[in-house]
Amino acid sequence: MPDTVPQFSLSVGDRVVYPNQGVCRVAAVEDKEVAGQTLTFVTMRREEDGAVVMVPQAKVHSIGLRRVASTQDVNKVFAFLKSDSDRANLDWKQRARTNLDRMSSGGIIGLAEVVKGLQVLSELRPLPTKERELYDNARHLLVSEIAASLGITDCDAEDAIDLLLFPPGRERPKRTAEEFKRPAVDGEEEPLELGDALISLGSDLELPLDAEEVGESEKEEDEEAPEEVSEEPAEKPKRRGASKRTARPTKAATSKNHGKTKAVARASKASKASKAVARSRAKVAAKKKK
Amino acid sequence: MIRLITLSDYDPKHLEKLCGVLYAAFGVGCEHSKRLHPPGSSEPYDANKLLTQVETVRAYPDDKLLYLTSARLKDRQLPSGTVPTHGYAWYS
Repeated sequence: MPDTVPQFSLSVGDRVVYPNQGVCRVAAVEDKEVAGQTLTFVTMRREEDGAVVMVPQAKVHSIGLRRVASTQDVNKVFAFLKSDSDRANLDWKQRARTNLDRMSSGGIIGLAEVVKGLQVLSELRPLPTKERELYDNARHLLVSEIAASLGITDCDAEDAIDLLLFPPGRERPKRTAEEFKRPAVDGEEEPLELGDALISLGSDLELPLDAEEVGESEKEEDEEAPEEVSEEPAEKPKRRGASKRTARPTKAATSKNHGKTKAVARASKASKASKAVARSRAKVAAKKKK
Repeated sequence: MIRLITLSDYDPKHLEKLCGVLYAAFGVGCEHSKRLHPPGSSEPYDANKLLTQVETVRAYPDDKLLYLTSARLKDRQLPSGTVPTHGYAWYS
């Protein structure tokens, strides 16, 4: 993604792209008095539906307004869409954040990255509603910009993209989660394996306090297998949260059948989380020893 | 309203069914407006030319015209390659 937006001056009749809105045509550049100040406003009309937007000239760059992509840029987009290089990020939070950045400040390449990334992800599993909406939105913006850039109809631009994304006569590949795993970069710390268990539990999990952690890490230094340590009765503060979680399901288990299944699920989640916490602590302790 | 215009012969039952499907899909009324004959050019048709040359029907603002044909449409040469034309759209 470009770090700096190239400076350009706008004049009436110019075609520009307003991030997340689409191709607009500059209708007027005029001075207006607002709250006693005279500001220069750029008035743009969205080509798709004629919606009018006014932006102070000083903010034109900060909102990410840019010129319509050149033919070279479009060719780069076609090459990117054709390639089999993109691997979607399986972490939905990171994916949402990067996609948002790409949509607002990534230019036409950013739009293509969103489209390609979500299309590849859809080959692994069906997209959730929000991402399907994002895919449709990004695709629509990409189609209209390519059409404006090459001077072709929207239908032709859409088919040009589809030809690359879904080549005729070739079945869509079935992806596996292993394909999306990114190789670890040298020097990058191995992530703590807390992710799934903690995320699935959400706010249900009671993490131990910092003071307790310090005490535990001192104890763990003396023992060789910290994973087993977490199971020992000596560690009362650490198990407090987990025992709470495991105690509840046993009560529920005696009551009704559906309650039983819920309780079992909760217990397995809690045990998973406690194991994950123990594993991460073991790693931290091992690092400290080193 | 979606106005269906046929450029080939279709079974009225099939057209009725298609209208029903379009209505269910888009929540917009649909009706078969007219059977037209395509202009002189021979198969495969150039979709874009066909739309400019073919007759139109009486329509109101916001109406959508859907032309149906069983004839083959010419492949199009686009910047990313040659695409088979299964359908073609004009947005306005």
